[in-house]
Amino acid sequence: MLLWLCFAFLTAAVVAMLLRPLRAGGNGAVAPAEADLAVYRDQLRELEAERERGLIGDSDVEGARAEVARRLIKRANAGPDAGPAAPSDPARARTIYTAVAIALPVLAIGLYVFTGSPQLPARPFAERQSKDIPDANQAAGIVELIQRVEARLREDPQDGKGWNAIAPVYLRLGRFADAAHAFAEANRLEGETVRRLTGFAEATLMAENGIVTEPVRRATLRILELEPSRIEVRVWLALAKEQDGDLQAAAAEYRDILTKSAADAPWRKAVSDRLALVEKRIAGVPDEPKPSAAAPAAAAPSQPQTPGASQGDAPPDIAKMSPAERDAFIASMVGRLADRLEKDGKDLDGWLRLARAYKVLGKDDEARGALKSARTHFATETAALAEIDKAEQALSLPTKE
Amino acid sequence: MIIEFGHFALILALLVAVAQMIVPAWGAHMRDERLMAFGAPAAVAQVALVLIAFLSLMYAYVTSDFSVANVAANSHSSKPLIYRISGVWGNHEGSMVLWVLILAIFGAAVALFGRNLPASLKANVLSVQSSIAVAFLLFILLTSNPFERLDPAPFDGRGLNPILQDPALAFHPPFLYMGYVGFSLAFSFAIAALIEGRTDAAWARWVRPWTLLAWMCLTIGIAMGSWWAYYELGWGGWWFWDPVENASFMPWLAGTALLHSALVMEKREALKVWTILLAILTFSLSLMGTFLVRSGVLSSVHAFAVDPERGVFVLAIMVLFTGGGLALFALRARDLAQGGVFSPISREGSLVLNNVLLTIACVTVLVGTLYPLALESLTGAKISVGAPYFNMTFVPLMIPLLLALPFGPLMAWKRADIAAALERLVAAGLLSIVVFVAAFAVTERGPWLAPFGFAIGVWVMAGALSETAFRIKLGSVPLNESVRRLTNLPRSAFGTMLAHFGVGLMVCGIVGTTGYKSEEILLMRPGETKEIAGYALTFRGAAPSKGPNYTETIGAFDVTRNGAPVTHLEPSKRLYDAPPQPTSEAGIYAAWTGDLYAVLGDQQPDGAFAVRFYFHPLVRCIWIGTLIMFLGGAISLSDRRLRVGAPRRAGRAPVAVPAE
Repeated sequence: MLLWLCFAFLTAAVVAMLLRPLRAGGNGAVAPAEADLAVYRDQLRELEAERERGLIGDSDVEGARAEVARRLIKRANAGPDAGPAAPSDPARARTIYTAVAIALPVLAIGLYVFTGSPQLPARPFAERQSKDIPDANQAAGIVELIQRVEARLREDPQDGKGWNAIAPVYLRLGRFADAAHAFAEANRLEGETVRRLTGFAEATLMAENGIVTEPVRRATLRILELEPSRIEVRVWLALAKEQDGDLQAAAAEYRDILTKSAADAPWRKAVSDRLALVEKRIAGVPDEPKPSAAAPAAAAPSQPQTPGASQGDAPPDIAKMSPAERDAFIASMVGRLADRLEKDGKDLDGWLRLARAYKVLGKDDEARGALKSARTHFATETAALAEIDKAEQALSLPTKE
Repeated sequence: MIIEFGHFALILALLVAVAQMIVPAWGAHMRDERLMAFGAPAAVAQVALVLIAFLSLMYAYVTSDFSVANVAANSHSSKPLIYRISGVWGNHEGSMVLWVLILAIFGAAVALFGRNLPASLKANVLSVQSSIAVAFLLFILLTSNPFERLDPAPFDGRGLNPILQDPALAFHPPFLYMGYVGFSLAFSFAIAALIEGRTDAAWARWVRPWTLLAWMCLTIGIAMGSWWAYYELGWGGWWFWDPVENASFMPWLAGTALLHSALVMEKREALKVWTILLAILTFSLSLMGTFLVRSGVLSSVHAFAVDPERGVFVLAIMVLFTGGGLALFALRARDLAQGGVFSPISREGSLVLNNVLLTIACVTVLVGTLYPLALESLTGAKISVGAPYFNMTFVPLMIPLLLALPFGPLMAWKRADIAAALERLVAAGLLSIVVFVAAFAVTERGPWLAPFGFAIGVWVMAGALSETAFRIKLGSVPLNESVRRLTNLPRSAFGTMLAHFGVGLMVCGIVGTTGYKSEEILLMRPGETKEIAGYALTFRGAAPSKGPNYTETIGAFDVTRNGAPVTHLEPSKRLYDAPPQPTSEAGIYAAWTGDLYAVLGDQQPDGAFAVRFYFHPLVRCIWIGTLIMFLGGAISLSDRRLRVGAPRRAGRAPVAVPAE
């Protein structure tokens, strides 16, 4: 209610301001002729000073004075004609001002109702920490806990237990890139466990918008190594095949998962839905709903693109393509680029794009290869080498020494 | 609630802008004073409303309100306060609001300070200015609404690009926008003049202060961007001929030409058609800059809005205003009577030469910027047009311009004596020859062209000073007479001198740093020492450290010169928390002779660090030069001449022309 009162107040203030000239009757306006004449008079005065400074020759001063005088006279003569018309029709002005005064609030409210979200309260960060979640104490506790752990990890990034503790919290909060990083650190420092590997794969998958990148694939294989009975994670392998464009293999993988799962396994329905979709695509039916984000294991709502460093600069419209289109598009793009660079290696941008593309496709070795070729082509150019270094870091692809 | 209030204010601003676009112009057409008078309060209301919207958005950033999609996408709760404030315009939506805010501020400035303008011209200018505001407000509300909400709100934001987490973000975009948007007023004045069918000396005088203000802001904005790139991107380049840089440089070149041609129009009522055309083109180039940056056709540090839909919208705005402006120009240009005559050797003639060279230079930059884009869209081939192209085309155009520059201010109006002008420049010429010989002697094995460059820079600087010396008859009359003349000089004369002097200083800086820079790239272990440009840098080691939202590795270097300690450099490599992205912070030691610039690279497996050292001679002169140009503009802007007002009609009788 208060919000609408504020709107009303603002609108009223604006309308009152706009209506002011109606009362003033346009007084105080400068007549066109007057304004011009002031300038020309000033120019006449200036001429003398200019002559003294030598800005205009003595012989030319008279000519210039005549020129300005001509302008002045012309303008002065045009005076009555160019001046304002006889006091205007007050009725017309009143009509127009009234129309504006009425249209403004009506249209403003109308447009706002269409586009605004009056029902949503503000959620400033500081306030949310105390009152956002039903149990205020608990929520404050979580936030404080996260901040404490984060602070400790910044002091001591080698604290595996800290990473281990905070990783699942990040995952639940939807901070997928952070979660993936935390799981990876925990795995590195505390040793790999199925729980952490699964967390890592899940977080990375979400951070990458459902694209199964090479780290996810490797993590999945490792999970299966440690605990072969976790067949549900094989969905990610199937998804990877699907995204590679190998639909047959993906379908076979899905089928295998279904046969090996228990009858009451919670993932059965998701997997069989997925299989049906893939089979449809094998049969050549184009699929409408974009499936990649609907990965069965991806339980959380699909998240907008996370600006992870490994995301690269894939053109945005790719995100709207179906996986098959996307795969074909990427493959052909990468192929063309690689061919061209093979012939003419003096294209730094090209190499960097190629490396990024390989990285996105999960082909780390090829990406490294591309950067290495770029280095040989630009061995003498420091700026280019710096670019390559930067790209290498951004893609987290240290060249093997 | 404040967010929604801001959203509502922005909608209201759009509606006010629509009214302001229609009512005053119609009033001017009908010669109805009451309707014309609508423009002024509307312009003030518009700026107030956009300001409310802008401050609401800033409030959302400061309080980290992640229920606002724009804040969630571009901010983070751990970001320091200053970057939460400047982060408002570190993204597409927010920067568009800033753009419209500045547009509205310029409109309101005309409404408030343009008291000396005739009512119908003022009404038309405000209408045209508001039509630009309507286009951009529609663009914001339809395609990039900063007040879009998220429900439920994410717990934390996704962070601001670390490269943008720099104090320079607080200044570079606002100044650049003030430049871009300032030229919108030149455009509005030009269109208003065409609508009214009157372009004369008075018009030129009214449009000049606004053009000057825009030019100053654009100058300093570009310079700040260049400086930022210099210290942030980590290899000490100050200009890259990057398409986005070119996009800001083209309006600058056209605007510089406009500034000079408006001078001719004001004094002599000549070059009318050309000045109007330049005013339209300068703003069109500003719009093109916006389009190139926002549409995603370029990839660069600046491309934060890669969205085809938005690109098409901006393209439509650009086509509408450029096309509309040019069509009106084509329709009306024939009616513009020609003004005063002048001989080729005259102040007017020299300003024409300035305009010709600047325009051609602008076209070469335009070709170099658009050709790769056109080629890519036609054939798919990606080429990059870099420094070599511009060195072959742009630089040769600048040489005659700079050589001729000192002559311009020495020329008299209507008809000048070039021999006399040359005589007055003898001292400047001798000085530049001395510098040339000295530079050759000192750097005998250096690049051959650099001494010529220095000579040209000194020629321009000394030429600017000679002009003032001549005006005050320094040496030929008693000193106190010269001082009297100096104090009597109009401020615009000082402005001219300073701006031209700044150009010369900038040229010296460019030549020095381009011709004589040195660099070393090597692996260093703690305790090792490397020499560059007379400095010895000893690596003391590297240590981790942590900032508010990043962790960094700081390298410590002791710098000595001939054994005496000079300074201590601490370049660092940062890794930001959100988003996790590395940046490098260069360690820079600024001396009079040049900058010592150190960058810390990666640690190698064997413990050594990759480091890069650069020495950039005279590089500061580039930015000091632009700063002097800015000051010159500011002093010129304060000249009494630009504020000449007509007496109020309701007031006293017109002031009589004093007898001379």
